[in-house]
This record gives sequence, C-alpha cells and structure tokens, in this order.
Amino acid sequence: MTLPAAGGETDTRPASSGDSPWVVIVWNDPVNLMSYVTYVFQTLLGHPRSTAHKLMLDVHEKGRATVAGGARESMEIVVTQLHAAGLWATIAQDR
Amino acid sequence: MRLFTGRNGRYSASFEPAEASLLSDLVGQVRTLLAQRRESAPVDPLAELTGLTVGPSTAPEDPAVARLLPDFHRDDPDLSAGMRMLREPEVLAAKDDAAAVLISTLPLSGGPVHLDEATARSWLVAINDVRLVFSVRLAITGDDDPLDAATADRNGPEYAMHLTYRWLSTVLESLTDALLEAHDDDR
Repeated sequence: MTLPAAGGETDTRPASSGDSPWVVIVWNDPVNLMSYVTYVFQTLLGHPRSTAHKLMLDVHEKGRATVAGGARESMEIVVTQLHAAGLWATIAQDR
Repeated sequence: MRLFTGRNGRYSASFEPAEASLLSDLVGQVRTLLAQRRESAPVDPLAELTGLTVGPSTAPEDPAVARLLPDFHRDDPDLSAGMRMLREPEVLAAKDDAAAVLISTLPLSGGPVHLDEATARSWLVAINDVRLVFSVRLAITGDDDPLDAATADRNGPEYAMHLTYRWLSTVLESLTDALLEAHDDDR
C-alpha cells in the first residue's frame, strides 16, 4: 500500500507496520544508473513501474528514499539484497 | 560491439574479441577482490557444526571493496557490525555467483550472446560491480564527465580507465533498458 507522505516523498510503508517497525533507506550515489535503480526497485522490491520510477527520482533528487518497511528480519533481508545489487542502502528503526 | 536488445525474453548483444576478453578479465578481477575479502573473515570454530559462515565486523580497508560491501546502519556502529558479520557472506556469494554466470556465458573470443532473464540479471550485477570498483579508483563523485578536461592526458592509464568505465556504462544501460522495456507494466 502506497500512502502519500507529508513531505511529498513517496511512502511505501505498509499501513500497519506491526511490531518494531523498521525501514530500508536507499541513498543517492553518483555511479548507479537511474534506469538500473528503477529496474532494481521494480524487480527486487516488487513495486509497479510508476512507484519504482518515483522512488528512484526521490533518491536522485532528495538524496534518499524509504523503499520498504516492516519487521526487522524482513528489512534485513531486503537491505542485504539491495547491497548484492550494488545499491547503497541502510536499515533504520521507523521513528 | 552490438549493444543489447531484447525480444521475447531473450537479450542479445555481440562482442568484439578484445571487448569480450576485457570484460571477462575485469569481472575476474572483481571476483578476486571478493575472494580476498572472503578469506579475511574470522575463522569461526563453530562454523563446521552450525554451517553458518560469519563475516568480518569491520568494513573493508580497500575503499573499492568497501563500496561493494557498504555498512548496514548509518548511526549505530554496533548494529552495523553485527549485521555485517551475519549478512556479508550472502552479499559476497550473490556477487560471486553473478560474476561466475557472466564469465561462463560470455565467449572469450567474442561473438553473439543470447541471455535469458535470469542470466541477464546476473550480467547487470556483475557489470555494475566492475563500474562501482572503477568509480572508486577514478574518484568519480558526480555527473560531470572527467574526460572533458582539456588537460586530460590521453596517453595516461587513467584516461583509458575512464573510456572503459564509459563503455561499461553504455553496455549496462543497453541491457537495463531492454529489460525495462520487457517489464513495462504501466501500459
């Protein structure tokens, strides 16, 4: 479920995060191609093209984007997969 | 070379012998860096019993390898160290697998390649890892094209590296675009 966040950043966190919500943040870097980042967001994270593209633009223009949210174990798996794909991503506790 | 195009789930390109040889060599060099990092992991006496391999707790000293294996948390070094120990082996294995797939599907003497979806994704990761290493070695920090510098020494090794980096980017872009086109769900 995608909710528009107050700051205009695309919020991809689920509506109810459950216990100990954690998020995965992707950071901008000067090397990764915009097309590649979009493709990773679409295939690895399962976002539709429009969301993947918007998230990529957030990373590019704002320096970072929250791309996933949920239980800590799930987010650890996601961030590990993003590292394997060459993206610069970190995990953080939500709030 | 003929850059990648996609058709019916097959992604095709054609490489000159020198290009295939170069790409294979560069991917092999990244595999060597990854293997060296893997060998630097602490020896865990329980590993044989548990079947779990543990990675180092600190980031690689080589900044190029560090870019391939970034920290997991921005502010909490303990959490980041713990996650690195637990997860770095997976990241190393995934990158090595991708590199192995590329090397085994790229004919050393050049010629055509036809990749299926899964193989194409491995190629993306493997080529991108080479680009990431180059970007650190060349200190690429922005979108400005360093090749435009009027003082660029066209005979220097750095210039050759920049040209190779640009070529790798072009190859990666063509394969990524072909995959994106095949997966455009916004129609």
